Amino acid sequence: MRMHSVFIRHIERLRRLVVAMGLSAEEGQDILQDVYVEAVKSPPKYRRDREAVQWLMRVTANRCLLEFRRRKRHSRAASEVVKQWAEFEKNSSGPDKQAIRAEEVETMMQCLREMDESLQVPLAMRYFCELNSSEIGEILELEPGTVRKRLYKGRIILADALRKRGIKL
Amino acid sequence: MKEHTCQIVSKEKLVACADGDLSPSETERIAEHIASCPECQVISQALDRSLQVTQAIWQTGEAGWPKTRPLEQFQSSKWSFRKITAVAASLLFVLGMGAVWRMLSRSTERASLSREQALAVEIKRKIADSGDAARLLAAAELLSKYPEAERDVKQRYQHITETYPETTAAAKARKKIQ
Repeated sequence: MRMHSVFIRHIERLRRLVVAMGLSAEEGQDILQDVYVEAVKSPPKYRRDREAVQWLMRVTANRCLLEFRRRKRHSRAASEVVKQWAEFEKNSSGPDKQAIRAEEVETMMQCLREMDESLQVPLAMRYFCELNSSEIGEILELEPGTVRKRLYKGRIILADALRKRGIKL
Repeated sequence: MKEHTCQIVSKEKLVACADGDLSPSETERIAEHIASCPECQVISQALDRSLQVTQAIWQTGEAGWPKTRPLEQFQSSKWSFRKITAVAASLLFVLGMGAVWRMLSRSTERASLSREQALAVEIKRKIADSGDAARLLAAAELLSKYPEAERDVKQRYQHITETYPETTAAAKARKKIQ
């Protein structure tokens, strides 16, 4: 199993994880480069592609967490996100797209900044990297039930943040 | 903050319903309840909306990254036997070169990673990028002999310029596109 080729094949997924942790493209590229170096320097011996991907996801998540503790996350301005999203919607043909508002973005960004990393990592993996509870459990070395509890807790924290701010939905 | 007081449907169920993790019959039952319970309605809306906004934040963050093309897309087009033979021949060459490269580079990969070595890895990466780009360019040029592959070839040139912009192969690909 060549870690180089596994890394290249799954780079999109690793990138999504880094993005969801609130790191910029530059920071994220540094992290992915570190992960790549670790993968080629001392590659673990895995026979199956799936195990190698899990290892890469785990290393990437851990690298993100190190960076996560050092730097301020989600430092972009809410207005910038809203502007980019408007552009994104313009280019998308999906009929169910709904305009997002700066107040909601600000609330969610603050909530993500304050959220415990033990909740944020599973949330990113589930709702952005599209992994299920079992896959997340294998990567983070947790029971699927524990993952589900964390996902539930994270979802409630996000939803309550909107309600707490009295945002009309 | 007001606690969830609904005795019929728990918050856990509302989350599971929002995530599509329930059976169709249970989803229907909860959807019916939500329609008649203002409290569950607010939570359900907040769950949907908060996730939508969070995903928008993630998605716009992703937009700042340089675009790359997944490798799988390279394998999606239907190729004729001649094309497959031509590309297989070039792949054999590439694999042979790769084996030699691996043999040469194995000793450096095993060494511990000081700053100088990190720089060496970076240089090696650039060399690898340059090699990858050159190989892709060679494959695209091989395919360019077939008029029916014109669109695919153009996409390949485009991919080389976007993914390996600093390489000589990218400069050549740019000329081909023009």
